[in-house]
Amino acid sequence: MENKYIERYVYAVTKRLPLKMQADVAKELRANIDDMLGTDNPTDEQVKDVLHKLGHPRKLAASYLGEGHYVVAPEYYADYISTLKLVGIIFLIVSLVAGFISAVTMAANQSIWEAFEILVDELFSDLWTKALLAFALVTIGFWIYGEVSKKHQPKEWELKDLPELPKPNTLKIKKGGTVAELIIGVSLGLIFVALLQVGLPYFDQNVINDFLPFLYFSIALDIAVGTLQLVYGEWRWPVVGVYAFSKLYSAFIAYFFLYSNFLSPTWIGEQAVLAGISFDELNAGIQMGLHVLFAVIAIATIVDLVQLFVRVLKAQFAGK
Amino acid sequence: MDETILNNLVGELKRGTQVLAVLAHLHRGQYGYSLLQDLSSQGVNIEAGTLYPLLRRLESQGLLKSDWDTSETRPRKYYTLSPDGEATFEALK
Repeated sequence: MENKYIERYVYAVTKRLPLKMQADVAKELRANIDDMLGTDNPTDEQVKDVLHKLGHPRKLAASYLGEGHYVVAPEYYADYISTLKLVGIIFLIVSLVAGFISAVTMAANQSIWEAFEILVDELFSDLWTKALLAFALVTIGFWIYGEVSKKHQPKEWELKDLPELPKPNTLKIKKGGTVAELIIGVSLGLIFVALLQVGLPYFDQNVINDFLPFLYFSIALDIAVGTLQLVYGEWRWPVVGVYAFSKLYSAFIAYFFLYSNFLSPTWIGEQAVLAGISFDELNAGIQMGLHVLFAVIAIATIVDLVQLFVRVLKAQFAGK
Repeated sequence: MDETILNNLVGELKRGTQVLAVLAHLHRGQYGYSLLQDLSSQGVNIEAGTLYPLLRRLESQGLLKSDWDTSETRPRKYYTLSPDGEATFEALK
């Protein structure tokens, strides 16, 4: 039988359970609710009565999870985990973005190897201390909340308090699109790297050679992202995390590449003579072009990541 | 008298009695709601929100086994004692 409150109640219970339990508990719970109602067309009042007999979804989920002694009370465990995830992901995003920005500022005018060293240092120094602090604060917060709420009678709850059902498929990643993107992305990456290596006259080969390992790593990251997308099939947090890292990494490498004097001065000189302008004039023009190119890359990266985060957060917290 | 100790003891006793009562009623297969009615008609006080998770827990401990009956219009999950459950019940009696 279809009743929006039953579905919302079942969802409110099962979303607090481990994934492997969810489908079976949902099926059994629906069957039990149907039996308790005893009619195929129940009124909202009858539904309310039965659902209240089953108790607050938070409490029922806690019973399914089992009893024991916990720092965080079982009733709040699911909320604790989702808060930890949220704090964790915000923490990760802030650390990633701050790390990349500060590495770019600190490493301007340095070689790519030095820049990369600074990036690693910026990303990982203090990361554990900060992560532990965030974890401890959330845990202590929930422990206090659990202890305080133990002393109070559980609040009455209403059917309208039940979370809305999430829209299905909002986070699906299309397989075909991912495969196409992966093939095209990796092929273009490999063609680009091959072009850099054939010794074309435009490039300063010494500068180029320094970048090759970082470009290969970028291609490897693309493959990792594509594989994760195919394995998970939707925008789950590990996929989002690796995707964000790969995009920021690409922008970081692009920044150092574009500002690395990768064009051969001899070639620029020849072109300047052909165009009948001075070396400095042509070089200034090229630099301007590179500024614009990097601005486009940076803006595209930011827009892409912000859109993705908003989409995922919306889907995640739609029902809260 | 320490109220907390007393409350904890009452809680443990209640849980133990409920487990025993559930095991006693599952020599033949029953689905959640029929068991709930059975228990309440015999004066065993257990809430639906306690019974359903308890059945799953006993199953995961190997004391019960379950089967979905989908032949009726409403699918129902039937629980019965497993051989381990029978032995445990005999030992508890």
